[in-house]
Amino acid sequence: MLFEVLKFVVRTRFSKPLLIFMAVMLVYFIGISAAIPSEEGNRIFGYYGTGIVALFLAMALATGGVMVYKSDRDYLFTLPLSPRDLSISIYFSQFIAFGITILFMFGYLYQSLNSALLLADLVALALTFTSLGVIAPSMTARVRAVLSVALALWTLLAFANFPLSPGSAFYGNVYGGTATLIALAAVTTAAAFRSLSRVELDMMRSLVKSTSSEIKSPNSYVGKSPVGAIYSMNLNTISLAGRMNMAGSSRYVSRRIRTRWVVAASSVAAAAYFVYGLSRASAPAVGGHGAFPGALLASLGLSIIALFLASSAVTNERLWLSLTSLPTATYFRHLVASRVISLMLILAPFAVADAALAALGYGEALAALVVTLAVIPSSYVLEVCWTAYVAPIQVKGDDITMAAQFNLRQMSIILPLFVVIIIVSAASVLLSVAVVGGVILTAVSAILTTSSGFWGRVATKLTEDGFV
Amino acid sequence: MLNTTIGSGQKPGACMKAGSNGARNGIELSHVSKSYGSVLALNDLSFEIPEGGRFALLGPNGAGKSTTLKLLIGSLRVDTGYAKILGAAPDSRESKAVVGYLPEDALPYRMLSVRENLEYIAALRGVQDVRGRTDFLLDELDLRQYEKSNVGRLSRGNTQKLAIALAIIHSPKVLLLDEPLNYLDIPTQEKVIALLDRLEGTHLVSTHIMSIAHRLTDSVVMISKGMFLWEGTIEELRRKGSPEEPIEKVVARMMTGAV
Repeated sequence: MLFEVLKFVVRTRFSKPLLIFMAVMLVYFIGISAAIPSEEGNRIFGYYGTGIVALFLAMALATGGVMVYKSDRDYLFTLPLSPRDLSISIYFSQFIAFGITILFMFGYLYQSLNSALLLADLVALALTFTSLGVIAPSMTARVRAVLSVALALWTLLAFANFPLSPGSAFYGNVYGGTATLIALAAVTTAAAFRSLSRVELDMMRSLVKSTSSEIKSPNSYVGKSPVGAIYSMNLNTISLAGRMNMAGSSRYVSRRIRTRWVVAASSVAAAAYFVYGLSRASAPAVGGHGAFPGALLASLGLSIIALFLASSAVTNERLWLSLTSLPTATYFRHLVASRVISLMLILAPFAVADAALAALGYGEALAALVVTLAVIPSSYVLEVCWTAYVAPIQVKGDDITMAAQFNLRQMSIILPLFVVIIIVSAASVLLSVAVVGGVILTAVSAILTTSSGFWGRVATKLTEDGFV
Repeated sequence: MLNTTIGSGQKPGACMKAGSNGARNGIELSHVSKSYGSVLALNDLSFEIPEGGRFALLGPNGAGKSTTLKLLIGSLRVDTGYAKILGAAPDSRESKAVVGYLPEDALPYRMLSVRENLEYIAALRGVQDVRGRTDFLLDELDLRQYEKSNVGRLSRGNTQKLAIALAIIHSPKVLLLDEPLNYLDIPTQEKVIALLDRLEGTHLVSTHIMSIAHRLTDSVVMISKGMFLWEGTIEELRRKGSPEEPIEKVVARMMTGAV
């Protein structure tokens, strides 16, 4: 019976082409890992591995969720199935959407892991990622946020040579790091299976706790012009909504937060980044790439966050209201422009830090500055356009269940991220790549933003997809 | 209201004496076809509603009612033919200024409060007295106690009331409603009916429920399989059956081609 339930749960959550694609990619990434010589660049990959693990662990907990449909709650959970079979099936789906991300990163993580313990580290990481997503809905938003930050900081302690951190295995403390990862995987996996046995209850509880019933400090639009209202809404608050879980499972969450708080948090992070940059002043250059690989890491992290933010531009839209109020292209242009300005407010502290570090002679910080000011904002626009035209899904009712099946089109929303990763990685070696990449992406995003024809097609597409 | 101009026309636009008398049509569709890929949703559909007319748009599931409304608000484009709102193209600025639209299962911005939704859409629509209009609708639809509430946490009934308020916040001259009384309790239905009744302008109400059509409108456009089927007053529709026959039966017979 387990196999039947497993097959049903997996097939209802993932399209067949996507499963085939993931299998092919898995083989490809494992092949890549074998092809990359492990002796070179361990230090760079140590930064990369530790940083990415910190980011992913934090996001797994902050944005995770269980891949469950409303129809599961209405029908599947009411069937006389073994709770064990159901839990294993949902956990396996969760693994495909989420934990498998670690295996996709295999080729890169391989560089920073001791090959003797490679398998143990990867399995432990994959289980931890999967499990954190499963247990996340049982916590309140505040607890998730606090634990996410704590988890990220604990991981980053590896940079201070702390041996018992989830990142330590990537940064020289192989045995302590591996032991920590295994312990973390054991604890979170046990918690995940306990959580899956009461998944419906946790989802309902999460739904009740997920949003405050009252808006504490509402915006006023009295006296605003039509266009002014769009800017007022998007500059005062940031709506966080969209596809969550790293592999792109189409489960959606939505939150709203004051822009000034995000900018304050960004300023603190940028200050820490600046101080860390200064502390690297005396460090030896790595592989001739300069002394500050943190700039590359920060750029990648900001890119990922920006592209996650981008999907909320469309998922939360109510086109039956906005497009019946203003001409289509006018509305979309100002929507995109206001959101880019909002993003740039968040990025500004990092731009200042990069500029200061560049003035102190860090070549990589100069490249990071170009990335922050041009590549990230323009790729954000491209991501908005891409998600609107290729893979739009609207946040409708309760945001705890999956909105749609996860398919190749949904997967494609991470393509712009790969473009950015390539540019950012190349820019750390060659400043001109950042400049040329920034110019090209900015030009393309400007053309799309100002094109009436493009937004007309987007409106038709969104209407046909049920947004109106 | 319009009964004097509504004939027993069985042909599209045959009852549109208002249009032929020189008055503007509130809504006009002429030989409109629309496909979604290989699926033909509307097939040479034509009908007219005179300015000020109150019409129900009836049709079985998949008849093309929602597609018709989406064409009229300009979010879809016709493949052939044309649609007009008070003489203007649906995607024009002139048309958007006068149209109000309520889709079926309408969802307002779920991360804004009730008041923020009303004020934001009023501002987008260029309403002069944003605060006054917002306060009026909050009171009129008993939403005052929820004005600070996150819309994502509202009951479905209160969400529907807010959606109706958003559709009419700018006092539209042409109002397109898709199942407007869904989710509303009976006292609220009466309140909404009274509110809509007081609104001047052309109304087109898509519904499956004849009692709602009867309360909100006085005439009917019937379509099936994307094609025009019949047009006339509700009284004319009633006379198509025997005196004791429920009007729903008459409609069902017409839609299934028995008449």
